[in-house]
Amino acid sequence: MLLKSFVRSSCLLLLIVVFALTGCFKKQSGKEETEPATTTPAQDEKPATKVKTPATTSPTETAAPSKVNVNVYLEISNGMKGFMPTPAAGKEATTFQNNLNKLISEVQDGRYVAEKGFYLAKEDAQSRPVLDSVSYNTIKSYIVSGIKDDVRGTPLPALLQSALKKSIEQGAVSVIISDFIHGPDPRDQGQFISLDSDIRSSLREAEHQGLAIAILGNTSPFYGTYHPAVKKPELRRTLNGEEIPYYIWVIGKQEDVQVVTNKVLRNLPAQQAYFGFEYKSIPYSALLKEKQFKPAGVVYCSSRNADPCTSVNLQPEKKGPVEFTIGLDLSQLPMSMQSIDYLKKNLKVVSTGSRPTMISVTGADESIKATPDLAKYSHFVRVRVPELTANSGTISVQLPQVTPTWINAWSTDNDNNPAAAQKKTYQLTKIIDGVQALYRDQSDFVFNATIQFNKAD
Amino acid sequence: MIQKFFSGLYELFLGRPIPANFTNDYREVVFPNTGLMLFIITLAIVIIYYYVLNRAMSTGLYKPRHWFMFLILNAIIAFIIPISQVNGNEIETHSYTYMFAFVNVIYSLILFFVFSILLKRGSVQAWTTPMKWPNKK
Repeated sequence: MLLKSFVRSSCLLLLIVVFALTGCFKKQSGKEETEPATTTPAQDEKPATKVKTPATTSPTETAAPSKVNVNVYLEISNGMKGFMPTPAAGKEATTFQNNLNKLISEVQDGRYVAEKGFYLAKEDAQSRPVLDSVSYNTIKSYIVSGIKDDVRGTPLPALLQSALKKSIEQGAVSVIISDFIHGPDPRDQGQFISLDSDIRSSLREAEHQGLAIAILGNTSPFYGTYHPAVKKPELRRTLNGEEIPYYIWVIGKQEDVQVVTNKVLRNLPAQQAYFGFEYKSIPYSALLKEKQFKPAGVVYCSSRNADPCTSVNLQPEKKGPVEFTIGLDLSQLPMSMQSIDYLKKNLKVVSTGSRPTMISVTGADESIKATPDLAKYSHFVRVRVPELTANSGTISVQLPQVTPTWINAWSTDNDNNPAAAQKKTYQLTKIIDGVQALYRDQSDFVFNATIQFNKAD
Repeated sequence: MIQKFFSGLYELFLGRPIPANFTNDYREVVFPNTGLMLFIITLAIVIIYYYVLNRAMSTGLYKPRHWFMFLILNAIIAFIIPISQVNGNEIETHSYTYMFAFVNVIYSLILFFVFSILLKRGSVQAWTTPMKWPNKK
């Protein structure tokens, strides 16, 4: 009897000891889990240092200035008059007038603009560009009540060059508004042939200074005399509300341009093109333990607690290809590049040592935004790796620099009859080619997120 | 080193951890922890059985069925530890987890037997438990 009860109590004692022991161990492992997480950046792991932890480098790039200097250049040749018809009772303002009004008022009074300048761009008798510095009220009266001056042509490259020069001197972002119909001196029509290289030369300084260019295309009803670049069969036409394109070019440092496009211009048109934009260190990570993005097949992060995880071990099998999700924070990119459709079309998954395919691109939904570990990523790219061709290598998600498709659609070789072919600009592709040539030798990618991989053992 | 040893020991029968995305949690935390605890707890129970209960205290628990009771006790602990380890490290539970616990039980039986054979000669009352071999006298 006594013996039995002793056995029982001793067993109990043992159990207690054992549980105490397990408690100790668990605590230890718990510590292991939290400690390395804080010291991750200091890890001596090769991939981590190679790819550079975004957390440490991003601030320099992503820290958007709170205020920027802005110079607004409004071209006021005769060709622009139709966008700004003189007001009359019962006549609605054109899209151009509405948008421009908002723009200059935001520049004048908005909280994101420090120093501002307003300029009317015209040419003198010798076809040289002239930039008239005017007050806010003057430029506003031009926009709302029409252009009184008689300015014949628009020497486009020269105009860009002088506007850019002024802005660089003043450390300001240039906002250039024009229909971008090249109007050279009638005696020098050869300029049309060299338009692309002229544009390139005129913007050379932008590239030298590391400036980026955003081009926003929009259309507005046009009332009045339209001056096509192609003068046959009609030298000029009178339009009554046909949609004619106009463009806003924003030139400046990448982050400054983004302040202007996102906070000053705000409602951007669908037609956007960005040149010289590059994001060297967008935050990204392979997501392997998140319930929302369960990986498939044999894949795990090379380091247990790495956050972000930029190095994985994987082992695709015949029956079980590896699938996993890479989270990306693309919130710094221009809005048009953040659209899922755009990314689906343009995003590329390339690799050395494997043959990956992109399965899907999704944006963060509400449930993801509510998950602390995932809230820092805005987009999720699902990647499938059916086989490896080497024991180690890289898998990269890249967004190549591409010319938007609207540019081709909006370009024409004959703008003589805009009523028949609306929303076309003469030789827009050539103008854009010139801009593109500027940045040809820069990075081919808007961003590049590289995950290292090793074959799992 | 220890991580490699225990990972190898368990993966010998279990294969690669499932779900695979927790491979490193198993290899770096769960396997070594479980293995070390298995080793220490089994050793402790054997020492308690032979040296505390059957030498220092002379409780009369020297019969093979008493030894067997401690063997089972150790096996139960060996089943609980892996599961608590897996849960404690926030690893998704999978049938693999229970296979792992089962393998750990098998190891605990073997280890308990081996320790008994090695240590029983130091015991006063239980030196022939569970059997006389390999001691002579």
